[in-house]
Amino acid sequence: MKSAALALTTPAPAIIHRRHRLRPRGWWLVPVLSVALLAVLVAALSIGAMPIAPAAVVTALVNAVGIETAWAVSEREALVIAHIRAPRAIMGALAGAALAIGGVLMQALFRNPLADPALVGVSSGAAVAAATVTVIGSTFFADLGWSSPFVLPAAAFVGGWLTVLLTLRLARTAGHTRIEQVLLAGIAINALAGAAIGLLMLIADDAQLREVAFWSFGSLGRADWTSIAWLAVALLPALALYRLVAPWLNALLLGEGEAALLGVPVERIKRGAIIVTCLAVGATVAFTGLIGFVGLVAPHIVRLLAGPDHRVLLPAAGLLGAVLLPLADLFARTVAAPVELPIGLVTALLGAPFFLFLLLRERREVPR
Amino acid sequence: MMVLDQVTYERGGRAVVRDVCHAFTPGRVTALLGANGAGKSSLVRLLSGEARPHAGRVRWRERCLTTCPVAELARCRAVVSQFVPSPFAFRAIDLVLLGRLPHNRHPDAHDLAIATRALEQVGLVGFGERSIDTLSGGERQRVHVARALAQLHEARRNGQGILLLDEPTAHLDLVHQQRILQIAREVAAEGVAVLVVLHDVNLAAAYADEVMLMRDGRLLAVGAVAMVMTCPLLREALLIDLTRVNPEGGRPVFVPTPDALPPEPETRP
Repeated sequence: MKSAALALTTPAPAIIHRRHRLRPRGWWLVPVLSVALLAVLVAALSIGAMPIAPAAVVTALVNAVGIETAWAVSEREALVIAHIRAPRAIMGALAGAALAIGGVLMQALFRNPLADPALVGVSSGAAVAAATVTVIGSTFFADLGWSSPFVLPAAAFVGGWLTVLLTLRLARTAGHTRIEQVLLAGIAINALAGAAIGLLMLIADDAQLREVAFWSFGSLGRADWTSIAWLAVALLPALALYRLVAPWLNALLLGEGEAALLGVPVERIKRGAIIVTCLAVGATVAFTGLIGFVGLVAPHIVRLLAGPDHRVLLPAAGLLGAVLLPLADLFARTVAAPVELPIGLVTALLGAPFFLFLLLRERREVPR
Repeated sequence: MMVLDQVTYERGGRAVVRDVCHAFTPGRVTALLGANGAGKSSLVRLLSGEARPHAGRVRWRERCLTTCPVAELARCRAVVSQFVPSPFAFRAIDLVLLGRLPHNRHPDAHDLAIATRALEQVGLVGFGERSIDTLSGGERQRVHVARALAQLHEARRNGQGILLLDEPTAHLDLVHQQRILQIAREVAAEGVAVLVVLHDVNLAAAYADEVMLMRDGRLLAVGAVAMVMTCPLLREALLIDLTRVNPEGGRPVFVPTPDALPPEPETRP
């Protein structure tokens, strides 16, 4: 073991030289995407029916933080930014981050790069609850005197959670959450939810039908500061835990058995990841409706650039999701202005072909 | 020290390991031989803590293995499994660094030095930056052996470790089959108990200190190479006639007996 001892007493310069290799592959994505996020947010605040110069946007932001500047922003511009565009852009960024992080966690759990948060039923459960409230509940809640705009999101959130708990219960045998059972239970529950929504749409009137359809394609149009605060709270566990769990998730990619042999608390990680995902994605779906493909595309792009290391993948995919969704929203509200496309439609229209392109490209690279 | 105490393990209502007793001594390489379905992999799973015995106990450092926290166990016990899927394209060095996970959640320069050294030891100098999906089956297998070496780095120093290799030579060319078993010997020389599941009787004869023969879940024979690796015992364990081709004394070399048809393999329900 002479050489091992040698390697361990390598002189300092060699260790410094090696330290840059210790940085996970693709670590540069995180700062680059942070800058991109800022740029996209400024663009989202400045582009719209009433164009606001990017300089004015930056000034308004600086003013909002409380720093006095020499430049002035017109009151109208400040109002548009503070009450219309900023909530929407920030909601988009948070929702995108939540969906992308949910995607990463589910893909790690299923050890499949094509897994999606919707697999565990959180979205379909939320959709059923939202449709129920829209079609049956609206009169009921009005009778109770609850006309708060929070009835729908709250119902969707609870519906998503109940579905996930049901899925987990079904997949749990003898103290173990069997991940293939989660998948199967999720598929059955998704089908059931689709049927339930179909039934509800049969008895819905035209206005309710429009509402259900609109919700199932997603929109950032209802964003306000209160919902942003809720969503941020729901994202907190993911942000707080990512550094802790990232190395464990890496080990999990070798399989649950191998991870356990490396001392990873597999059962806790599995349940924790599902719960964190459902918090983040459930809150997102509750406020924005169903927005597809972000949870699939963002992690996939990051993996192409940086590999599968979760120490980079989790923050970078979250940031990329936060960049992509405000961009998609920008597209949705400008491409056919004054008509606004549902954002879920845009992410599917742009995301699906892009995803197919990635798949085809990969297939060409790896001949089988 | 890892001790099997009258261990029985069932799968699908059938005992695949029956009443096995053995103590694995630090510093020795134990080869485990047996036909397919003899219970070798199940025995490895019992020793690694992945499987719990239905009867008897697996004791490790005078404690019942099932009560040991997985994190503590992972610092002293490493396993190279037969098949490790890698659906995602890790670099080789990342995989070896995962072996440091039980010791240090966020690897530092010290861990990197250990991992680099482990890659060198399995003959993969300069492979660290290569993506795992560009490596051949044998190279991947050696990366996983390197991961086990990195995992046991401390245990090798304090003589507390156990290394379980389940058919580590399965995908390897002849040179690297020998190399892996040499590494097993080196690791054992540092005070680690090493168990190797093998199908090649000659590799077992050349590198093992002691040999365990299993058949139908039972321990048929266990002991030093010269004691256990005799034609009658091997025939009973492996269901094939072997002839020793070198003279008595020294490590034996076997070939399948010419013209002797192997007995009809047992069919199992």
